[in-house]
Amino acid sequence: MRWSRRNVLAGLGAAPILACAASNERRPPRTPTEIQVRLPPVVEQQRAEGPRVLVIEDHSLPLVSLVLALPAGYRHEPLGQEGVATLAASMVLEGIAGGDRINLLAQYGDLGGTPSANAGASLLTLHCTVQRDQAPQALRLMARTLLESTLDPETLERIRRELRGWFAVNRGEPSAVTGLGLLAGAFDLHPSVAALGYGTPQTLDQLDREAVRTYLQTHLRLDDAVFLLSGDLSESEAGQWVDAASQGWRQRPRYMRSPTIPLAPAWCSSPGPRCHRPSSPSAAREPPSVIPTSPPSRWPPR
Amino acid sequence: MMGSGSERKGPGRRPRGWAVGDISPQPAGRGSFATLEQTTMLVRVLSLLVLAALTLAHPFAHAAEILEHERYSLDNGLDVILHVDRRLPLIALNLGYHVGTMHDGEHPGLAHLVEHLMFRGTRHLDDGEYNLLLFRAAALHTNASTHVDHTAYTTLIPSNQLPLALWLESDRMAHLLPAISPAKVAEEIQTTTDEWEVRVQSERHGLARQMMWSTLFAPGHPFHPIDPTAIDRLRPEHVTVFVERYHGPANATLVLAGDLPEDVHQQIEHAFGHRSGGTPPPVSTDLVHLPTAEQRIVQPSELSTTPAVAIAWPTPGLYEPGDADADVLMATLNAGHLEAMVEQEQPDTFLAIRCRQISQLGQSLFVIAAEGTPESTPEIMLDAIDAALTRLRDRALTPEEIRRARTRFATRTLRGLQRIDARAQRIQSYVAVGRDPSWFHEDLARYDRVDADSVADFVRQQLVPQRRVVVLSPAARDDK
Repeated sequence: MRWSRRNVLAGLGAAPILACAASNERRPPRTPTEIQVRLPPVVEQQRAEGPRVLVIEDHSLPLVSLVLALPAGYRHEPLGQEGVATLAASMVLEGIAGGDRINLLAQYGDLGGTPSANAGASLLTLHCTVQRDQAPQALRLMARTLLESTLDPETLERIRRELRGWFAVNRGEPSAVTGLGLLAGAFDLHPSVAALGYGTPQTLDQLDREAVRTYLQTHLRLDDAVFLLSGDLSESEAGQWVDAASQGWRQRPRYMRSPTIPLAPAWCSSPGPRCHRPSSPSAAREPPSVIPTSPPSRWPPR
Repeated sequence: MMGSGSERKGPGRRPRGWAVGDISPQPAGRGSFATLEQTTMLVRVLSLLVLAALTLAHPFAHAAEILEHERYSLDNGLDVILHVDRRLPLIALNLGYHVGTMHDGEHPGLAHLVEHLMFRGTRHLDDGEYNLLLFRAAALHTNASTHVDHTAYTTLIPSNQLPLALWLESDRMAHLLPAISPAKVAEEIQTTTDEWEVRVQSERHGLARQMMWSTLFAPGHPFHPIDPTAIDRLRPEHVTVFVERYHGPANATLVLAGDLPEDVHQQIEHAFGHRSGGTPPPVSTDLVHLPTAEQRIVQPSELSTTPAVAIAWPTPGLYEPGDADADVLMATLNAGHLEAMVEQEQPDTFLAIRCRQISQLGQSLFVIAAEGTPESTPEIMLDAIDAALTRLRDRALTPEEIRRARTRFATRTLRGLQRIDARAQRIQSYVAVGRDPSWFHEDLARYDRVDADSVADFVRQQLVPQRRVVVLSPAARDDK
């Protein structure tokens, strides 16, 4: 190769490009540190019969997720009846008028769904996901499940035995003992909150079918119910399906309720597990920043 | 705009896979004005056709759209599948090498060992830096899995971190071997052996399960289970040969699902376009193994205080005729029917009983596994299961029960596609067995053809005594 001026200049010109390419090969690219978040819009409706309806449209799959929620979590339990919310949630799927658990699950199975019930701190929820064509029937069945639950006494005993077993297992767990002790002692919380919704062995022994029935009926009010529907449906469909499911759900007299218990001590700036003292040293280590952006009009966006 | 099966033809991209017909409008015929009668007739015919199409439409009419995708190849052979889902600003990356445990050959455990070593650094990254960089980029579910026919490397990242994730995968595709040392190989041999210990040795019925597979698939068969002695024989030079041969773009499929950026094609070309190599492994043709006589093994458990029984039959391979019937049978029996049937035969004998269709390329397994009360024995349990199977052969399941299981199975399949990483995985698993992602529609339709008769036929033809392996596990003796 001749060392002409042109070749030398070409070589000098190419060198930075080759160096840059080699550098790209060796080092990972720099990427932004901020994460853009688009949350799906939630539309709220207040139906004439009283229930609130929250709708999230997501047409990416022909499915609808249905949640029927009542403000009947363990923070609403009457004093001395700690654990009644969990018992109620465990029993609602054990059968409705005219059929046992197997029969009830078969009815859900006909619609392609598998229901679940849960009592959290604030809400007692019934959940089921089905294909959109089955959603109206599934929602009606969910309302019936709560309204017509048989609360079979034998089932109550079985669940009580299981919960006792859970307590026995937890007595041997150092972390559980420490956790519950910390909640009850250091935070000075109400017993039902400190027991994390499971009650205590003493209260569990005292609860009977009547207590569970009264607790459910106290909170089974249409004007307190919240329907959360997300998936392949429109706002208007959500309203129609909820209205249909609400038929036969007569307004009941308002029972005397226990006062709702705060979940966290007053010095907490925000309730729940995220509660922390303002001068927490952990605040120095922040996760990547999240920038909420306004939701698009249609979900999912195209 | 990416469409279902659309083909992009541009520099560095070669279209492949399926294609829909040309949807561009046909040129109108010159001077062909239709009369009013002709137009009315045309509208009527079209209306009837639309009505007929709607009536006959599959219940998952837009199932094909669910995995809407674009598929193309880079010049170096890298198979690329893009699926857009803009619900969240996330991207699921799933890079699959078309080599798995069935290609281990004379070195059982090699594919799994290589999967572990892929996280141990490269020429440009220190040991552990791969995970650290992704962690700092807020990635989730960074993992890998070795399957019979492929090995998948996965991560879920915020969409603006795609360049980093692509660079990391490209880097370890090309620069893994300089970072592999005998010490790292020895460490990962120990780790994979530990995994075997957890999965087999420390599981109550793990050894019984291992025995079941060994009996069904003799040494040398691609599905013969791996044991620690084989893992211990692996050496760094085996890893070198494996990686040099199989880890390259021509033997890989990159699936990206989620909120893909506009320049995704350029990003992929930039990250992988200059890579080369990768050879598909030889195709295994002799996977089917059907025993001709029942094989019964007694494998006492050292860990369980309750007796157990496992029965396994070889069944048709994944997506072959009969595979969907097996799935529906499983869903039906697991919905309480099998429990009820054996309870009726032998009350208070069973603690739990489940069945499972393990679908895999070429040869699947249908397994019934039961655990009994401490007072029962494996032999009594087997008698009860056999009586239940006799009833199943006589069509004990009703059309309603089958229909219910079918609906539930379809709903569960759809629910399994709610997350984008699950979609990417589903696409990768179709590709691994030579299917296109658009096959999802046909996959679901297979279940529509299952009915009570076809399930009873499946039980009569496939779940026959002379083809099965039975493992009886008496409870561990309590010497205290």
